[in-house]
Amino acid sequence: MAVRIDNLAFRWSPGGPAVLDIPELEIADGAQVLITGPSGSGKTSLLNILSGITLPNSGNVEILNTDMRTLSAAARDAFRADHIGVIFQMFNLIPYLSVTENVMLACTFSAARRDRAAGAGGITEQAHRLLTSLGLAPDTFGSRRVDALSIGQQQRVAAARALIGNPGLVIADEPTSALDAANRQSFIDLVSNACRDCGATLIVVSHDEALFPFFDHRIDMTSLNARALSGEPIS
Amino acid sequence: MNLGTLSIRSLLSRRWTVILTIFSIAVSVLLVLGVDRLRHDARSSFANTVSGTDLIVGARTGSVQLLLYSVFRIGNATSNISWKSHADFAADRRVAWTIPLALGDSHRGYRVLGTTSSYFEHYRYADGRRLGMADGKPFDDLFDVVVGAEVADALGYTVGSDLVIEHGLGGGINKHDNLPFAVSGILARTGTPVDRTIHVSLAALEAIHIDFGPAKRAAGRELDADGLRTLELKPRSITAYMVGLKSKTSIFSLQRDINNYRGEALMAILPGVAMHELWSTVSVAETALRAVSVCVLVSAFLGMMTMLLAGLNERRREMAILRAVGAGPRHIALLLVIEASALSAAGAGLGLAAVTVIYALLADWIGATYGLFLSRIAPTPTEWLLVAGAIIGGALAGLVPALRAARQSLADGLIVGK
Repeated sequence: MAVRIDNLAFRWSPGGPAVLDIPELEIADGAQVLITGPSGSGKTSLLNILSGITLPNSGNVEILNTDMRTLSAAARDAFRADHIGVIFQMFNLIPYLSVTENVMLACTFSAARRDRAAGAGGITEQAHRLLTSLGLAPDTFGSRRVDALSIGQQQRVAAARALIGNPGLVIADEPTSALDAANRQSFIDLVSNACRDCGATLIVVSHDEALFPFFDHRIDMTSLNARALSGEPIS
Repeated sequence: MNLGTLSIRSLLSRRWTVILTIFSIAVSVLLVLGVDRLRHDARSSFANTVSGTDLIVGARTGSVQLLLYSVFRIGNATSNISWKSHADFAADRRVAWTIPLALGDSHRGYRVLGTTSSYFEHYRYADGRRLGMADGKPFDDLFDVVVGAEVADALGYTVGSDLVIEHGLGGGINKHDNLPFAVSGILARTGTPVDRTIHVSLAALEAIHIDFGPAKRAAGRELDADGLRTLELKPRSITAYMVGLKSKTSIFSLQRDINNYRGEALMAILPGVAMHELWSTVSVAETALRAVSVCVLVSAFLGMMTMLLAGLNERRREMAILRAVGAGPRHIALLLVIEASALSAAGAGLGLAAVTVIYALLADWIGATYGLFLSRIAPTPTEWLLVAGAIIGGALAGLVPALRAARQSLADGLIVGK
């Protein structure tokens, strides 16, 4: 199971109102899931929990069959480095690194990823292969400065970085909101194919309804997080 | 790609602020090292002023004062000592040689020193170096003058130049302009007060003053140069004398004998001890100079801290990206510490290189102009240690922005600027 959540509660300050109150959530390995919801519905908080940045105040979170509560903050950082790829809405790339270096950056903090990328034919080679599969020819783009890329191209570099070293889980936070309609579709297509190829579970958080057709599983935060949103006390 | 290369690439992307920061650290390291070198060289140059002299004898006064006027030609003796007492001790069986010194006259702002040929034979400076002649020869005739290198340079004297000795320390009221003094020799540069001294024989000094004394009345006429040459001029008093001993072991017994001399109030000092005493009075300035240079270094590090702290807000995105690929707060902190260390290492290295190059380029010029001999060109172990200290100091200064960045990245998580 890629994600298993049980009776999760999260609040910013102890005793404050619950931001998240999720009775149950399960996402199978290899699934591609779209989480939707208006702003304020707890998407960001859920994302922080799924990526191991924060822990819930109560309840269970298992990511890739690992109980997050048993890990220290440093161990959760290491876990994220090893197993999770993250794509942001925009500004995903480090401006002073080249395209290829940005992709390989994901291997910096994880020996496991380096090993898996090496096993897949070498770190640079996998970076180039991923860029190619995302429509960026390495010969043309590999050594470019990232600020010479369009936003759509930047997002694809971010996707390649998320996927290098074959993580089990890719989390994307509004990855298409800065793209136009045509780029949006091709981006989601490319990312979802690349995830399928790598066997990675894909979780996309977005309020973009145009993405609905691309996902077989959709989770609506307003119903998932209903109790917190209605202000009901947590039992 | 590791944290080291990452931080270097990050620094390179901020080239201009980074270069300015490195320069400010380099300049302050240059200052610290430069002050330290100059202090060291000034001290050894100072200690080099006189060498091989076991005792300096003068009228009873402060030991620093005796040292100042006899060796550094600064200030005046409160009273002279008699030639007789000098002759008594010069004949002592423990004494190998003496150099009589008679001060009091000047020539165009330079001190005139009456002495004997013993001066050219026995005076030693800087680890036993002898005085050498750059041109000409030591005095032979009554009106021969031997000038120091700086005097020759400043006044444009060559062998054969005529000059006039003034009575007292300038002012030009009593010029002995009827006496034909001429330069017979120019001493090689020593980097000591010898360079600024005009040397004449003791007899010549007597000749200058004979005019004013009873000898003129006794002679009943104005003495001319040739008339003076015929006279047997014996010095009656001198200002001080330097003593070289046959054996160092007798220093204290002779010193005691001189100090207890019944004929007049004499004092014998050990030059090394008096030098140390004198140096310790100027070491306050030395300490102050050092403190200032260290303050400049600290302010350079504060500048670096400011630069790193100011950059953090713009770099929140960068930190969030690093967090997303698995960097923990400690990695973020380490990144900043590496940046600070790299900046201070570059600055300190540049400062050390600069001080070495400047020294190599200016050593000859400073030696020739100020008589300050810059001893070492290559960095010493102490300087490497100082540089290492500066780098460690820089890394420690980096801890402040590092902790702040770590806390900020912890609070920000992955979500910044949304």
